[in-house]
Amino acid sequence: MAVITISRGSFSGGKMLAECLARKLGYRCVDRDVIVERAAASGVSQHELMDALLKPPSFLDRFQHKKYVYLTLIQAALAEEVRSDRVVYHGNAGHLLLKAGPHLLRVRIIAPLEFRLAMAQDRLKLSRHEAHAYIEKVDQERKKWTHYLYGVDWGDPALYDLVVNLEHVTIQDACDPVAILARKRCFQLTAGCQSALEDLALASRVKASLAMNGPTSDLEVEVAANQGSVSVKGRLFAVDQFAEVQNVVLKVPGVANLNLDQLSPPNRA
Amino acid sequence: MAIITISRGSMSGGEAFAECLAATLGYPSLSREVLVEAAAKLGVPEEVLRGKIEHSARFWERMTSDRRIYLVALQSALADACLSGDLVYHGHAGHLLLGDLPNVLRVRLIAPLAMRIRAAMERQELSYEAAREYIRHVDEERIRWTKFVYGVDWRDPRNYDLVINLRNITIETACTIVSGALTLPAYETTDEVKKKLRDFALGCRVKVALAANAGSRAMKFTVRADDGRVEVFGEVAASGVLVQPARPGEEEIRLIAKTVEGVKEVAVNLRKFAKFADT
Repeated sequence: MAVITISRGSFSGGKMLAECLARKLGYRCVDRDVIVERAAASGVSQHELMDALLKPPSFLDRFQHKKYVYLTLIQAALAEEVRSDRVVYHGNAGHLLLKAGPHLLRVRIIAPLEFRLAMAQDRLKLSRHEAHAYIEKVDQERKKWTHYLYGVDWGDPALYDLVVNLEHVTIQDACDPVAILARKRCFQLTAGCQSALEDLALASRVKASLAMNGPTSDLEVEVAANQGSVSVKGRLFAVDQFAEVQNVVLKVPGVANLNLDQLSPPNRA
Repeated sequence: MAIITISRGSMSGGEAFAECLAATLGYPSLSREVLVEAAAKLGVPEEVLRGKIEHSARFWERMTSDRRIYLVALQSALADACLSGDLVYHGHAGHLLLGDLPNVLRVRLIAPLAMRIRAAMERQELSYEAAREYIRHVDEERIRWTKFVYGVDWRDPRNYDLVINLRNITIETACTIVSGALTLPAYETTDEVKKKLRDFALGCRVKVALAANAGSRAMKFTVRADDGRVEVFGEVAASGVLVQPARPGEEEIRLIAKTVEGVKEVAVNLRKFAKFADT
């Protein structure tokens, strides 16, 4: 079980490539809406979740923490969605939310501007000029979003396993090399791949539980899981949160051991 | 059937990748070293050819015409090697030297820095710091050089058809992906493609003849060939050259171009400039 993530600018044919791969490999296609819907089961509005996924935080954003919470929910939803199935995810930030590893094939496609303009004009019924402005705006937002939240450059090829340029080939043609790679990789249901996905799903679930539980909801933590052993890293705001974290995490199904050595006590004011 | 150009940083596994592709596909493989030798046979002085590619842009600025001869010869040697339609080229700037030629699959390999440092430490018996410094230096030179000569960012993925990250992909798998991609109709060597390869090679040879001739070497030319009919567009020497050498006339250029084997007709136009940038 493995996941292919497809990153691209708007109107670059990402969905078409995802569908082609899914057909060729027998994978399931998952888009952004499916994930947002799943994340919304926690009670947060889909609209706000979508915003967190699309809009870069502004400098004056008083709701930075809200964004952390929403992205935590989205990550948990995505990790759960891909945990037990072969999936092609063509929504935003899949390669970042799912972490790098042998279980993941991160593909980026680059489409020539002309291709994107034509598609944007056709889909959104825009003039050429409007389509151009639209594409530029969305690209900028994506760049900022990735930079602020993950500190990386969206266009950096090092973030992906494979970058395919559609300048000389069609999407159907580009589908082949990616499918070959997918078949070649660790994708044959090896135990290692499966456990990497299970670990990620568990870690994301723990993170989401902490974010949604009143007494721990103001924390921002990193969670790692390794076959049921969970460790939480971060800083507490109040001493009694330590017990709360312990309490919340141990209730999450799948958690066998908990390590809180890296959970620091609050800073003294 | 295709021409594969491989671009990569030093110590990124480019050679092993090229060897694997050549073996899998049964294509000839060509390194930059071999290409430089071939370029030398085209009548370009060796001291012009030797070692220039690692020099920085500042050095090049003083050597405009030498540089042009060098690049034109390199391009021509590469164009000749492409004539059969099958080639694996693993040298610098292959994707740029070949311009808009059809059937070229431009591949770039990237590898995590830690992986490259390890390779440099092993192969060149360097310390960790020395290996890191070596890679940083070579990368920087190449970025500067590509920017100066071709005006593009060497790292920009838009300049390639495929960028393969060796972090989680082995050389063998990368080799399988690329050979698989070549079965696509887009990379079929049709008669039309073969003609374009011939035309390109002939145009390059004419450029070499013009660059090697003392009378015309200070000028910049763009050449288009169509089955032996050759069109030459001329541009004056780069600005900043204080003493402008006397420009040869159209007739002189025609005569130089005519000496090239395969040229049947020559049209020379020194006023019109071709729209596309060329070396």
